[in-house]
Amino acid sequence: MKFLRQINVEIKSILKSRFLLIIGILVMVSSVVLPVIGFIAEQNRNSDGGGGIVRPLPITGPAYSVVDIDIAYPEMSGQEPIVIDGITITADNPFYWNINGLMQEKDNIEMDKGRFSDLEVLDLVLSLIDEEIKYYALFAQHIAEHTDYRIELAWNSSQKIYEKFIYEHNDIAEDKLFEAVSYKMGLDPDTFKEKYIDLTPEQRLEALDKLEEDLNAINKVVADNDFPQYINLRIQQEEDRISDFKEQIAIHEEAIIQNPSQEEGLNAIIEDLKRSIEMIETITIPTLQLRLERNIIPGEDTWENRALSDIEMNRNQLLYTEIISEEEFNKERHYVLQYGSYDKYVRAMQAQIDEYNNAIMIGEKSIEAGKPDMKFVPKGPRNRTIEFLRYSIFVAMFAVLLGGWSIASEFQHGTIRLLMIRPKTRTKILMAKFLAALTLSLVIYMLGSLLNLITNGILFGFSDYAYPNYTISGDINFFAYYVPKLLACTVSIIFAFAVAFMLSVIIKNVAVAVAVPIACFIGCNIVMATITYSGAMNWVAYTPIPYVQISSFFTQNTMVRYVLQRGIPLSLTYGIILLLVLSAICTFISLSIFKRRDITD
Amino acid sequence: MELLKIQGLTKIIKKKKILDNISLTVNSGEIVGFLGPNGAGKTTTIKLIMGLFHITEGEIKICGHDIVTDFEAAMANVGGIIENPDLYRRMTGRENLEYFASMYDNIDKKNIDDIVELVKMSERIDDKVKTYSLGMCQRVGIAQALLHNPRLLVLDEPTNGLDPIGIKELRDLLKYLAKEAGVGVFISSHLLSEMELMCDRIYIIDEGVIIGEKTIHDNGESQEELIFEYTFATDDNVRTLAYFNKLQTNCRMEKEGVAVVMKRSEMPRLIKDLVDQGIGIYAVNEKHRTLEQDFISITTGSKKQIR
Repeated sequence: MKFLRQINVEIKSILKSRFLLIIGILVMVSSVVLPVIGFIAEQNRNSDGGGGIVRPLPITGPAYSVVDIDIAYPEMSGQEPIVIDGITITADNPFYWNINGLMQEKDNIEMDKGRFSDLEVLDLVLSLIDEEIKYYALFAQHIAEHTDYRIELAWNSSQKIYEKFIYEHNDIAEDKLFEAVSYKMGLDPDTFKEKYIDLTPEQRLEALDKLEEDLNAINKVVADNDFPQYINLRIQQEEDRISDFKEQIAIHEEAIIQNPSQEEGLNAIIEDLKRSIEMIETITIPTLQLRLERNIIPGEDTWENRALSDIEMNRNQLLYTEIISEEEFNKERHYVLQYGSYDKYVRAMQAQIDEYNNAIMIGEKSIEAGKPDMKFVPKGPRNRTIEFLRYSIFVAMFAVLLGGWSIASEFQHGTIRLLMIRPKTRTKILMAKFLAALTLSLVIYMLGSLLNLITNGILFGFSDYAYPNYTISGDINFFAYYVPKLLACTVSIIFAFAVAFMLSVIIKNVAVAVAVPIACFIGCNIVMATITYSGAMNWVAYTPIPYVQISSFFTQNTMVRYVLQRGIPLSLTYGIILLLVLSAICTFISLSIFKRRDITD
Repeated sequence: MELLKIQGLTKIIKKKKILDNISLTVNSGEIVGFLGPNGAGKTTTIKLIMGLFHITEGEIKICGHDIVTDFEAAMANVGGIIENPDLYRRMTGRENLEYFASMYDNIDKKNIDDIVELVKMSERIDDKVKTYSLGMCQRVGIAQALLHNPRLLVLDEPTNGLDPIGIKELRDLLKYLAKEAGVGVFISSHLLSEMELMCDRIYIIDEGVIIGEKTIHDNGESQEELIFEYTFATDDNVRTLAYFNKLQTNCRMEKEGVAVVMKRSEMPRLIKDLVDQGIGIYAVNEKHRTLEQDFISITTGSKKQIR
């Protein structure tokens, strides 16, 4: 009880120092100021027009036609609306630059007539481009937003315009038609002949009908904004791709029989195609069905979309990730260089696979529950609060200042003499000072973090905090997720403080006791940066170096994360225990030196 | 009652003997001076008493509590200043006193006010210490030493930086505490005249060894045993000098007459003897031997006075 009162007195005595008081207040206030600055910065960015106009590269046709780049670009800077068939397309329309580019292309072709063998070919190309412009103009009429899901249909089906054009112009000489169309499509003459020319009239008409039907369906989806129909079309498209891939597989299998010597290379291609089919069947189509089922409209900036694309991406990654055998591993020189040993490689890969699976699980659970994991609300208060765990390092620096100042300043000012003649043992005096400064640092850390949590809630909405986080062992409330991390980060503060305090006792000089821990902290970061780029330094994992900044285990884009990805086995639990043990050792050293020493200046 | 008892105290720092087998005592109601040239070991002794240094050999007891084995109880009975009164410059005088007070039991605001009044700092006590003069720091330093009503005061050069009035006040304060409250005071100083004016007893230390102990005011009782210098003005100084030489006393011829150092109790017999021998005595002058003379005569014996 008396001892607690003594700690209280010591805290008050620290705060009598105007310098430390101001720094302490600044450290605490920063937890409110930083999110507010972030908020204001974001508001400004949004008022600049948010995503702004996406300016695609001009469509220039085949590479050889780009004679002079200067011709195409400067005039594109004009943003007057384009009028096509009575449809006005303004510069902020997602198709504006596309259509603008096509019109420029027409101008360029007319100026460079010698490019084609024949004027008839030139006319054909121009009318093909006209068709294309009309096709995009239809989209432009109905779609005003850059994020609209229907845009994807436009990109996916432009091929159909060219095909339709070929079928419709069967009266033109084959070579001229080929020259005109290959300007846009990139075909080889044999395929062209086989696919589009050597057809019976019935086949041709049938193909044309199907194309028109497809295009009409697309037009209808675009015009009516018919989402279910859109999904059906997309699934149809994907199924078409599957049958296309299957055809190619059949062709390649044929080729193997004819050229057994190329079996290996061809097999690799077949493997790849099979994998693509698997991807479409197990990932793309189910995702589309899920979209329909949950009415998750693609393109919109919603967490559902982020979750879905995350699931898709991780499933794709998983499909392409496999752990190769040790024999193969040893053959791959760059793997050996990168990972050092097969063990490490397997560990890194396994960790990677676990991460993919975990990510998929989180995405699926979020969609299923209709409540997003914080991962899918990247700018939400939950993420901001977790990122703010970095604050612990800021507070640790303050703790270093307090610790380094604590005893050394008593020696430097000579006040230690009047202090040590009190009826308190040296152990009690030292521990009261130690605990007072440490308590003050931790209180600032806790209050600062709390203020940050509240500020984030006020600025970005409290509702985000109510959503759960998903883990392998089940869903947890955000606070149950956050608080252990918050506490873990205090270990960094305790460690930094204990080191500074020990130096303060041993060296009796404030500047040195403060500067040395900060220099060591920077040194640890340099070591981490070094091992991020050079491998095979397992021993680092057993030193305190990777753990001095515990928060980097929880925040994004930290060196610890990179080092973990390299397969260096960092353990958070080990790190926490190590730092606590070292802190205890530092404190013990401080105490025994302080007790044994004669008090001189 | 012995408030401070040092026995066989030895301190070795970096293989060098700073103090060698020192023993001394301070009794209740007594002001004891601790005198010595620079580097003699005065401050070292005081740091050992106050627990800043570890004892190499010997023991120190304050009010019967050994400072090694019973540190807290020993320290509860002693107040002091060591070297300069270095206070926390970031705090006011009062905050300094409150901070120190928090380490004792049962010191309330009233006690602090009284002490501040006592050292005459009431007007400036709520200013920051960094605005204080050395004398003001010294006053607050004395205040912090008295905060908990210690039975023993250990003061290291307490008159440093005080003006003559301040010195007088401190002297009166210490005398008052000793006589009225029975406080024992152990005070080191190089101001010999100061020592003479306030101390009852002094220890003289040189090169880590106590080389003398003097009792100054014995209130008449043992005056007879004191040694003074007497000057005899007679009608036959030559015979007088011969007489004293025969007694093998410390004597010499001076302008006024024959100077001789003698115990006071010897005087009546000597005067009678001289008169009996037919020497006419005009006057006998008794001269007080000052502490300074003693101090210098004792310490010049040591070769390396200033180290």
